[in-house]
Amino acid sequence: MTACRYAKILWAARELLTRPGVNLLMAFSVGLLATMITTGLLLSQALTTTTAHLLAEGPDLVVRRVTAGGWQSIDAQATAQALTIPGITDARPRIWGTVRAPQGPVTIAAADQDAITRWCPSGTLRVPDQGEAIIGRGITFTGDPGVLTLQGESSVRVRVVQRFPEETDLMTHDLVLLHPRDTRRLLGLAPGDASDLALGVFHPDEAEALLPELARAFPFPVHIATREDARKHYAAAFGRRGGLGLLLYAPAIMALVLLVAGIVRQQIGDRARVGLLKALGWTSRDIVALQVTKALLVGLPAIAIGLTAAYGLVYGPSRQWIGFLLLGWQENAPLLHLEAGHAAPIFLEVTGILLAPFLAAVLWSSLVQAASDPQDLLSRGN
Amino acid sequence: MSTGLECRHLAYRYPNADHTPLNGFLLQKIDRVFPAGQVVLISGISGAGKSTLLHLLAGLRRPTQGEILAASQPVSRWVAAHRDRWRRRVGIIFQQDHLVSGLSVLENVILPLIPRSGEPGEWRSKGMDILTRLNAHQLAGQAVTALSGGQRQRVAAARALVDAPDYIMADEPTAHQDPGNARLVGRLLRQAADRGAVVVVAAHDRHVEEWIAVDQHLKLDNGTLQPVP
Repeated sequence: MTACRYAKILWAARELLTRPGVNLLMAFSVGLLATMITTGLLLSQALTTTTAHLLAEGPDLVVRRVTAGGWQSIDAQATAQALTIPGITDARPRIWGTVRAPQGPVTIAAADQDAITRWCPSGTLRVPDQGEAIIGRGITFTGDPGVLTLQGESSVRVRVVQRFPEETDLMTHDLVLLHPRDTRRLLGLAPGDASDLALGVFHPDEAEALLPELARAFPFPVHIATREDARKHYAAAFGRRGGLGLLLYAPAIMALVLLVAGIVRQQIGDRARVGLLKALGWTSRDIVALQVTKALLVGLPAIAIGLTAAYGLVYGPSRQWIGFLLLGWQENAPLLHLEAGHAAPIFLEVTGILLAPFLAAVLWSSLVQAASDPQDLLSRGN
Repeated sequence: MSTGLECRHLAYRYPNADHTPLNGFLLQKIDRVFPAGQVVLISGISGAGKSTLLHLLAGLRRPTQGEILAASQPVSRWVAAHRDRWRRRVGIIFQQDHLVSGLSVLENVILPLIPRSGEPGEWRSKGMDILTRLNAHQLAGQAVTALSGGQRQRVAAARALVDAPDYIMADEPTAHQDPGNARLVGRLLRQAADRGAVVVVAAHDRHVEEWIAVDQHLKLDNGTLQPVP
């Protein structure tokens, strides 16, 4: 870039300073719009991706025994029956359920090394011994700190030895991981019984096709949930709440329209100045370049700040609002650790969505004026 | 080949001006050469069309009929993009100064230089030089809103002359000046003509000849230009 071009950019910046109030307001509006639109898009993308990622780490199929009265424990030996179906590669019994804690209902699960690895790949957690617990960040104490009294089929007091890492909060927020024996006592499960069976399949796309044969393999009625069922369940839950978020878009779009109209009005109001510049030897191209440079000097930093603010809102330390607004958690909302990898395309999208009409408005009005005779512009502008 | 400006059968009519005399034509059948190296004074009563003629000569308007040639080139017929570029060779002092509020005096003066080559140091140097020659260098950093009428007019003159244009159109350039500063403006216009520029000055006051050494004096009357003896 030549020194001359730098000088022209500096001049465009100097021109902006002749109307600091108007240009600041314009930058604020663009930035706010960028924040609103990006937050919505980032959130939707991040929740979908994160949920899919978390579900991918879970089982392909979950088999629960059902009776007329509801769920019933399942004999762990049923894993052998599941493994007779071609395509089923892995079957393991799981022990989990919900019990009462002082703060309210919590989810408990029996710990084994697989579960520990799944919840905490970094390896900082260990399998709890009997009488010990690893708890999620949403579990609070009402009595002795570090001691939790859980109430299920029987009452069990456990000592909290570790907490799940913050980044697993979306899935472990209300989870209490216990020794299998404590878990069975709380859930009233007989030795050899499990809450359900988690199955792995050779190819995830086969899962749906295996359901009829799998159901016939057990001598009792079962309910089989696929990963796709779970994904739809979460998507529906986020979608219901996310509908509220869509309401943000109506004022955002209205604001964008008003912004574009404001730019066109401002440019038309600048007829006299454009006429003067033309009279002083500025070509139409010079004038369009000046206006576009001015628009970029206002728009690009504003959009960058808006995108950063949106990123902070969705991924930053104060992101608990997502749980309150979208997921309906009223207290102890989990910190969502969402995947930031998909942010870049959204940033580009939003930059395009905002810059395109912004620049189009500037270009159109500049071109219309640049095509007029200077004296006409000077006369009409005064 | 002439290096001056030439009007051939030039006529100008304002749109929707049928009710005015001459069927709405403010200027009609003007055939005149404005030679390079001369200062031509155009006088006439207010409303005679002096400013309009200057705007036509400066390429700010297109004639209704006829054409304007610059160095034998029909600039009035050129497409806008070419006329825009040609206009870089023109310096114009408007009757209303058209200074940009919000910019300083020096920034107003260097406005014509910005789209051309050069860098801020060169612009500043040229701007200060012309302001000094017009006895306005002490105003360089001031806001134009703080200037008197005469000062504003000198700043407008500096802006028109800053890039040593080949064609200079000056509309009442000394109207608000005291005699000393009017002579200063007149001397600069004369010097521009002496280096080969076409200088056309419009004024309704004959006193302007006391301050500007004029080569030709034309009177605009009833839409036509007549020599004044």
